[in-house]
Amino acid sequence: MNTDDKSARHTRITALIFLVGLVVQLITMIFVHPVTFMMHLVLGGAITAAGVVLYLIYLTKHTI
Amino acid sequence: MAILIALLGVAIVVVAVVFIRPSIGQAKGGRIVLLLALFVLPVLVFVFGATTHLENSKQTNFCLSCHAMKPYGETLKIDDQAFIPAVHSQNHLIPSDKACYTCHTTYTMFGGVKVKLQGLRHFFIQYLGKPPEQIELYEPFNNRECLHCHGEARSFLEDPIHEATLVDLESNELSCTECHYLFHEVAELASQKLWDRGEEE
Repeated sequence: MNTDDKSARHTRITALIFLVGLVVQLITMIFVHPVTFMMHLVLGGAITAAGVVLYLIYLTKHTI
Repeated sequence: MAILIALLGVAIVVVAVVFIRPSIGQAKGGRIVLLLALFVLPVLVFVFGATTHLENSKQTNFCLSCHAMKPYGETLKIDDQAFIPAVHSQNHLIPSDKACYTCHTTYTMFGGVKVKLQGLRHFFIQYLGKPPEQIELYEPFNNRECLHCHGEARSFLEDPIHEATLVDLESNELSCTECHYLFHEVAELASQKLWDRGEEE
């Protein structure tokens, strides 16, 4: 696997994680309820944080 | 809310484009697209979403969605004007969609870290534990909650008892609840007639 393939794979995984996080957050917006509030903060927050970390790893690995 | 949904839609589309075409990062201006899709938009959506949820948690139906709080919501319907929450709710002296928050402004999520942790504890007790039979405030009711509306009202200021006790009321030395003591009397719910906008069965 060459560098471009690795970079594309990394980007795709990061984008997929963000997509899942965004869909979770979209679902939480449908209802006004403590469960959706916690889902947004805990689940949405954790997935977003994971995506950000992966993106930062991508930056250090593929742009230097 | 509409702005947030629009922002969420844009974020999903941009991230989906990056997912379908990850090579976009190699194109001219691609890094900007990646920065937007994989950092700026998701973080913005999360922060904006969290503030929207926090704002939504001021709504009456949010508070009453916990089983333990339902009887307290029912006390707003007591057909007796001596009950403070009922008279305020039924006469729209407080906004009905934010009935709880108007008088309990520092409760659960709306205070410092300690209060937020209490809110988190309430959540876990509701879904993983057993809520107490009798729910009590953590601190004595603060007169500020009454005075932020009544404090400047002529009917309040010209009342001889309020006039004589104003300093003590403002400093919380004397609680409003000393004289106005009928609140969320859950134990009396069964014996009270309820008023439901004249739509009683």
